[in-house]
Amino acid sequence: MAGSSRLLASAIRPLSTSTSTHAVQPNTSTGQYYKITLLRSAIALGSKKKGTLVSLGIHRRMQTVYHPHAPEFAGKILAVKELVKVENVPKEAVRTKTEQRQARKPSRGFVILGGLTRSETTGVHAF
Amino acid sequence: MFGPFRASHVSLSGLLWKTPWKLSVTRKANQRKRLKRVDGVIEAVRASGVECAALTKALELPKEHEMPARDKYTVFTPHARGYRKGVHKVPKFTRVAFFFFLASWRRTQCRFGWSPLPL
Repeated sequence: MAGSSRLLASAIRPLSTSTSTHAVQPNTSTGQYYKITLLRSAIALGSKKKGTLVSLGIHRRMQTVYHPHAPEFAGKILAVKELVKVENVPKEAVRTKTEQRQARKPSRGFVILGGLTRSETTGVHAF
Repeated sequence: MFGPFRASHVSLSGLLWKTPWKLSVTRKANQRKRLKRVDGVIEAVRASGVECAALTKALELPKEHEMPARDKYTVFTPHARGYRKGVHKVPKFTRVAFFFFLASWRRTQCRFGWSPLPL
């Protein structure tokens, strides 16, 4: 019983893959980058997995990196597929490390409207 | 018989770990969650439209909902009766690929010359 389901699964998989790949191909413009987040550490998983993470530019858990859609990055992601979370994002959504830090910061709670010397802001300071 | 200094397996021997024979309902649920997460990663890479050998290989793996419970929660072992043991007996089982379990299982099957399931 289990064997037949496995056989079915392996028989169905290439079919479904090929059809959906054709459907997905035109939509690649919406997502051009992999957003990769390390969820599980590679400690004690061997130098190959650790090295893969280093080559992806990840050095700590919950760190997010962005890489363009390319076979080499796809291969690296699949080599550590049990450790990471992957999303496809457009180029506009790509954030550098500094931008990610800025996004994490809480708001300062106030907005500087202008300098003290400017006459139009004096009314704001009054209240 | 009772009290803090009673004789028990733990107090009489040094280090004694008792690993349950099978996974609990919660651990099985977590195992399914992990499998689904891996499915999500493979799906994301497939949706990116990239073609590579690693992806071809990954797409051959069964998805979580396609796997029978036998494959989700147990792995092959040549030592146990019935040739199966709980997946939680495998070191780092929450972080290593199921693919290896399947591959090693298939290899061993070939060596044993015994195959209940189609390879």
